[in-house]
Amino acid sequence: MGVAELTYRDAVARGIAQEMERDSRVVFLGEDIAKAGGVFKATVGLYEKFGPLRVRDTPISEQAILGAAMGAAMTGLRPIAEIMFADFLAVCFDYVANEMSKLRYMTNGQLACPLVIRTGNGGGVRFGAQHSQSIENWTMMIPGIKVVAPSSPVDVVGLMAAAVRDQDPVIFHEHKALYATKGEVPDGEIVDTLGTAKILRAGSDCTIVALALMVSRALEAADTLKREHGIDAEVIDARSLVPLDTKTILGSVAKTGRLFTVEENPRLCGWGAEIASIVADEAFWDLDGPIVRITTPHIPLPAADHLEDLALPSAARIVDKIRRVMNG
Amino acid sequence: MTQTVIMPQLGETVAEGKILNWFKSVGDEVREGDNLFEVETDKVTLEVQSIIAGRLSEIRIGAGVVAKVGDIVAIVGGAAPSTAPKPAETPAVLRTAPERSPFEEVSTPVENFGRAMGPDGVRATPLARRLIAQNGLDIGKLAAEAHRRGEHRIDEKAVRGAMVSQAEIVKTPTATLAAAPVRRAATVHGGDVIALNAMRLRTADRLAENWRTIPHVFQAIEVDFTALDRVRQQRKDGFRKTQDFSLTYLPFIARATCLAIQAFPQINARFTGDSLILSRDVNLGIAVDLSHNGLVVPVVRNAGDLTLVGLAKAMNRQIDKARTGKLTLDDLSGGTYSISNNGAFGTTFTAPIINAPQVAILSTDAIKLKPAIVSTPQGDFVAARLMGMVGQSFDHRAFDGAYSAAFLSELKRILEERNWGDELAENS
Repeated sequence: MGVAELTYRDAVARGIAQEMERDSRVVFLGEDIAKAGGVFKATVGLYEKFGPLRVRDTPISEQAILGAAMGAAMTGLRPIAEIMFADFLAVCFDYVANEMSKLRYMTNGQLACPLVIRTGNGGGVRFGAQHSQSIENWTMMIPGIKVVAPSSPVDVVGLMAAAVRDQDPVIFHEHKALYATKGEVPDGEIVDTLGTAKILRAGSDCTIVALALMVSRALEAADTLKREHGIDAEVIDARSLVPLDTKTILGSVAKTGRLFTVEENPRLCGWGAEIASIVADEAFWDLDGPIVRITTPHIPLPAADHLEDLALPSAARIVDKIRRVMNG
Repeated sequence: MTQTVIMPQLGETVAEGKILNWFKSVGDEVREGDNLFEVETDKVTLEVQSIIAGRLSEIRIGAGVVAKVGDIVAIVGGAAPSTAPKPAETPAVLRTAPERSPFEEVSTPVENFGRAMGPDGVRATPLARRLIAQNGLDIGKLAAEAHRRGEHRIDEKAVRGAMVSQAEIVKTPTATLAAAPVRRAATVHGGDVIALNAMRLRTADRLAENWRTIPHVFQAIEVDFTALDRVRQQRKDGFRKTQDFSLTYLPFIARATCLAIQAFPQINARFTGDSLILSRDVNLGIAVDLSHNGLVVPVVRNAGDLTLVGLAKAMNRQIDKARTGKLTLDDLSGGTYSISNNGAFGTTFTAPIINAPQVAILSTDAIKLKPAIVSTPQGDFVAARLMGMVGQSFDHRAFDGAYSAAFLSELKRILEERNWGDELAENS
């Protein structure tokens, strides 16, 4: 078995293809995902491989996409639907918040909604305030929906497989700024587990929990903290927000006594707030200092290069914040 | 009105316990059912809950200190901590922790390790407060030191600094506070170091002490289980249906042991140095391995009065409690004789260490088909028989080898010759 270097965008296509090959019930639909291979070129080759019945372009209507996907899921298919920009989930939010997520419950288990909504989430690529938001928290607040946000190509493939095979709706946040990044992906079938975090760097002084684009920045910050400030940080990629791997996070905090979250979302009600709340509840007597959240300020994200870079947490900002808090 | 909180009677034979930590601080409101303090004995660690309500006005026995059963450890109610209150007669007793509500997705610890604001305006972090309480440190002293350093905060580092000269401090995640602390230290010279918890350390001490002070003699006798097994095979399906657990060899051996003790009462006794005190009851300890994570010996009381089925049920109950961590101190105390069973692993014989003040301990090992000589009027034949070793370590100060050997021989006779079918029939 070999290992290939894949981009994050290639990993998306590979993950979908792996599941479509395995299960003929898996179909894929969205705007420009078929012949054009997706606006982010993350689904190139699927149309050619699986044909127009299973890989379908749709009109520009998010409600139509999710409505069709939900109906397909209710009647026995395992659809993957793309919402091009995560911001557009607001357009079809009734399906997400009221319909798909509540179907199993409202029908007393008679119906299920096994589908995946893939969506291009996050900023850093100069798309402006309406196409750059990091909205994992919009989705994680809804009972009945699972939420994942992979940070590496191998996790994209494995978590995509886990999402497709899950019996309930899963929102799969792909990060737009990560599409061009590369990573090693082993050959063969890859299936990961929802609800599992990964400790990417072991450390003893503090715990940093990060997600998606922020993971690589947290890792870079951890290296600098160790090298220049003697602070040994443990970095956890949360990967899955619902279900959340509290065991790994609480275990790490029990070891280090300190918790930092690095979140791309605007500050109020970001996913890290929930983690901070859980840790304060369950691990209060393990804490040796305040929980600190490092986030984008509570603002619409600017399109201008230097302003967007200033708004999103950078490795330098993470280092600076942690250093000051730890030495203070 | 003031009420006293006393160190509860933690078990029949337990005289004292060490308070590991207080979940409440002086001044805190205490409600009925609140966890008050955690106490460690040489057998288990338990949380003690309050049966009274009021304001905790004084803690007389702090964390890290050993108190005798019945000692007043705290006062609830009353005006100021300094006024010596006249104790009322309401002692705290043990209760099991309340079940968690299914709606409680996140569990907030109910323990409290004191206020953030310490003396001299110095604040202590939650972790520091917990470590101070659990390790019996003086927060005033730590605060004064922080003050001298020009700092206003006591954190984990400061607590560790204060502990340098003492043993390594205990740091267990709050999520697992109820369990005995197990610490895993860093790798040393290429091997993992497993720091031992208090229970394991006590076990180690006691075993070493017993091994050092008791002149052990080990004897074993080979027993033919063929006849016994025939009955067991006939009845085991029916037994399984009515009792919901399997009928193993162990209850037979335990029952035979109780019967043999009737003829050899000195086996079931305590050695005090200048006398041997025979026990009227047979309280049978059954050694249970907790998946290689420790050994407990729950006791089946009045085992001598139980029938084979009754004994099987009682033993199954105690073993079950041991494996699910539900043993209380009473379950672990008062044993007069013990059985260590290693048969499951296929061993031939085991020489166990005596559990003082008991004077002997039985060991049973694998029972398997072996070629054996069977004598008949027609001559001696080699036959496949179910054979197993039954062994006993005994304290040579209490009696001599011949007495122990005669006991083992009686035990063998009962196991091989008793009409087990009758005993099972009348009870099933």
